[in-house]
Amino acid sequence: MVLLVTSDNEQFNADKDVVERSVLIKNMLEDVGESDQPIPLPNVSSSVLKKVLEYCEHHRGEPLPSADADQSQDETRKRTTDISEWDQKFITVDQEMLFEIILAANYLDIKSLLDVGCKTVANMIKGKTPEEIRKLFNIVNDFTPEEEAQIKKENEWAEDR
Amino acid sequence: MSANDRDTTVTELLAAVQLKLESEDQQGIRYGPGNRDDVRAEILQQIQTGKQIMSRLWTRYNAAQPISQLPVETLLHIFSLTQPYDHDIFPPLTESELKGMNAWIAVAQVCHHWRTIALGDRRLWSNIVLGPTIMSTGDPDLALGALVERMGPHVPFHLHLALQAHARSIHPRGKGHVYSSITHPQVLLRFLGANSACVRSLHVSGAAYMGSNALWKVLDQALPALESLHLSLAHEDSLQHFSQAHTGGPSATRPLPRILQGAPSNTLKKLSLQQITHWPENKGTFAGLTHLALMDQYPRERLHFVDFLHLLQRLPLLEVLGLFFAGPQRYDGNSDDNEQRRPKTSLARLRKLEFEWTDGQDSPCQLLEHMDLNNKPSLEIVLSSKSLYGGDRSRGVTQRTLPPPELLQTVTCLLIQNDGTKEFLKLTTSTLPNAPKKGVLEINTSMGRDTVLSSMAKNLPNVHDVRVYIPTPSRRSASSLFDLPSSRSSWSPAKSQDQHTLVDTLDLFPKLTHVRLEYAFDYSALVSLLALPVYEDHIQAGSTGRSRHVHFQDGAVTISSSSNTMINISSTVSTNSMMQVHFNSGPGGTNTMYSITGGGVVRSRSSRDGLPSRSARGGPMQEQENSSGRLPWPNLKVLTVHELPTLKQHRKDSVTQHAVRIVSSLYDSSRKGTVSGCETGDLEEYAISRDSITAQSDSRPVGASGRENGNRNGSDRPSAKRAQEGGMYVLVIVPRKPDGSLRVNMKPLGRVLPKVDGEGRQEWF
Repeated sequence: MVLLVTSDNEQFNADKDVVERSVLIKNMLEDVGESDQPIPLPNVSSSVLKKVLEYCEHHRGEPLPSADADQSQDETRKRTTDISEWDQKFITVDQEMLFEIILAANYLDIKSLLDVGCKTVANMIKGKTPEEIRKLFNIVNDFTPEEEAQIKKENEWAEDR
Repeated sequence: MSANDRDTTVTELLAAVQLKLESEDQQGIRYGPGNRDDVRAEILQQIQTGKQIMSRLWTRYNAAQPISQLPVETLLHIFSLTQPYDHDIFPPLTESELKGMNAWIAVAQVCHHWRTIALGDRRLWSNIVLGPTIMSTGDPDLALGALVERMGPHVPFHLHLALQAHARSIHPRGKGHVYSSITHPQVLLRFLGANSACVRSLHVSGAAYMGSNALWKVLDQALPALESLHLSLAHEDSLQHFSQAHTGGPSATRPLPRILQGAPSNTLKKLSLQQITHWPENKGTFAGLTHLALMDQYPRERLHFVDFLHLLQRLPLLEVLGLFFAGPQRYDGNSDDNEQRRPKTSLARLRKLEFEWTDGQDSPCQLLEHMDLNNKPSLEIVLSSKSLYGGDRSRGVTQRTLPPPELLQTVTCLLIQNDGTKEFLKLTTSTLPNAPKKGVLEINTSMGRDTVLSSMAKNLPNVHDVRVYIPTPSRRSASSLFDLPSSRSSWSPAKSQDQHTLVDTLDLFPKLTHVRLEYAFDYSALVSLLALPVYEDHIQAGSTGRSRHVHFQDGAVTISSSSNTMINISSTVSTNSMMQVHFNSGPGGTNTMYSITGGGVVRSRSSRDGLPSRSARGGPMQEQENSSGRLPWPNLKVLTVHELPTLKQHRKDSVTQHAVRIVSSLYDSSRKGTVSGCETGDLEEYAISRDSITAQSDSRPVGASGRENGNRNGSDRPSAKRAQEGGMYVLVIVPRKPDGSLRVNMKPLGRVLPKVDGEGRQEWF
């Protein structure tokens, strides 16, 4: 078992083969060797770590993706942002938590979880107009009218595709 | 910087500006007649500065939003995921598939932060899809220049020109050629000329343009770094031009473009040609090809068979070969016997073969026979036949449509379709290198089915999963499957020895573990059939045979007559992998059990009290007390029987309503009985109660009493919502409980459900 300590000082015990889905933790464990020392995770809150561990637990034992896993697109007709059913349910959280999970996956170096998060956000964006995207993420149009006109003109070439 | 400057915040500065403005306004500013223009200009400048300050403040506001916490590289990754494809796809996307490919650019128009990120990564801009009306206003050179600026100098890019739609819209009568500004050959020539060293892919699809001499010059352009070329010339003029140029016809006045017949290209790896029949005679030009796709070639103008084999031999690096309604002319067998006996063409690096063809003449089987495909364990062969029989839908799969038997084991995916929509036969085998080879075979035609299955069983011993779809809704469906009686007239179960049931045929697959039977079979019809007088002999004396009721009890179906005698029907897969349909004529009556075994359907009978059974009026069906001999499908783990709604019902209602209707009809028939204990399956969609069929978590009826309303109970459960949308559910009757009871399940079928064509015919798959 490995003891993890979150930014809000909560402690989590988890199996080694679960937490080792995080390359960061795996490397730390390898560096430290056998030790009872808790591993501090100052960038991850307890609520987020709970979700992350849930993900790692579910995917325990699955082969870790290789670094160039996404390279071959030869056989597929379109780039896929499909997410498995379980992952989809898992990642159905509010936006704030979604981004926290992505940040944690990035920090902990859990590629598959990072992918799930990024694909989810990409799927939210796909097919939307700039205004719809702004509304979705509570972003304000910060272009001046002149800039906006220029951008529109620049992108005319893309409009019929 | 002074201490004061350092401590001054934006808020303080803005407050100071505001204070200053208020103060000056209170003092009242007077402008002399001479300086008003200067004042106005100064104020406009201040307003502009104010707008810029506002813009910056909004940028800061955006930076405080949750999504802005994401690091730049993560946002960039997300942006790249919104791009629907990349240039590696082969064969390249068609013009229609390119629709919407530029929609991702919206991310560069959301806010300053996102725009900076998007414009900062040149790879995002290296897939350029230019449609017909791109920059139809403005200066195309300037716009293309801006695009190149986004890509950055010397960055490899992939250019897709999709021109056809525009050409058609402008030339409804096909006369003349008008170019949208950016696709004008001169513009393209300048663009390609200025960036020739960076063009990695050039994909051009467009009809009318290709007939233009001017545009051919685009293809004469030297592109020394070109790795992928796709030309789709779906226009008769251009094709004729091309053909005549090559065959020395009367209009052969210009040479083929350099790009197609120039010096050997060391860089070109992927070549895909649509509607160009004569390319392959450019022998030796593309020796470095790893991917080749030929599409839609005119049959009579194709290369001769032997020439085509020569061509392949000149492509030693070929990894992927796709022939889609293209390839060599059929070898007639009379020409040169020496050629026929020539060694097979071997492509050492070949890893994928994909053929699509229309009929026997086009079949790739002959070509496959002349290719050495042995010792290629990871070779993927995808065979797909579409529009196989034109308007004749009645024909099924024949031996002629199948690849050579010795090749069957190599095929990883075989698809035979009719009209491109209905799948007659589909075979997929696992290609995982270290996994035991398994195969899934789906067949959806009655015509030639058993012959093909027998052949498949002989040549594909690894098939472990067979799915049979019986396309014609018929009361005889059950009979054709299991040799069950379906009506009095067909109650002649004399199965001659050379007749085999489907069960027998499937038994030829030695490793069969999964069988799925799916057929258009109205269960309520079976119930009503079972109520016919033909079963009278199973009912004790005293029955009038007129008044029968269907009764559900603990999941089993019972038919009772007015004389209070009953036939129980239960259907089960027993633990010894035997399909049984069980008729029970009630207490003290006769049990009749139809067991599906290796020897066909066997009926065994015994009376419940142990007395010898009476003889059935049913005919000379083989009778024995117990089924004996080897059981079929000895390794069977899962048997699934899906019964689909029938045509008549489907025309009127959604699929959900079908299911409800069928269950309702069962219920209606059992008005004097009770319906209870029917399981609703994993999805828990419906529960069947005495008075109605109800969504399980809701008390409002959707079935017998509320069937016209479908599932209108307002439930917001996703499954209920799906059901409401229709097309997701069918009635599934899964006889899988070992105790013989019948489960009535609502379950998603996971495939496109039947469509009814204009003539009222039904396409099941």
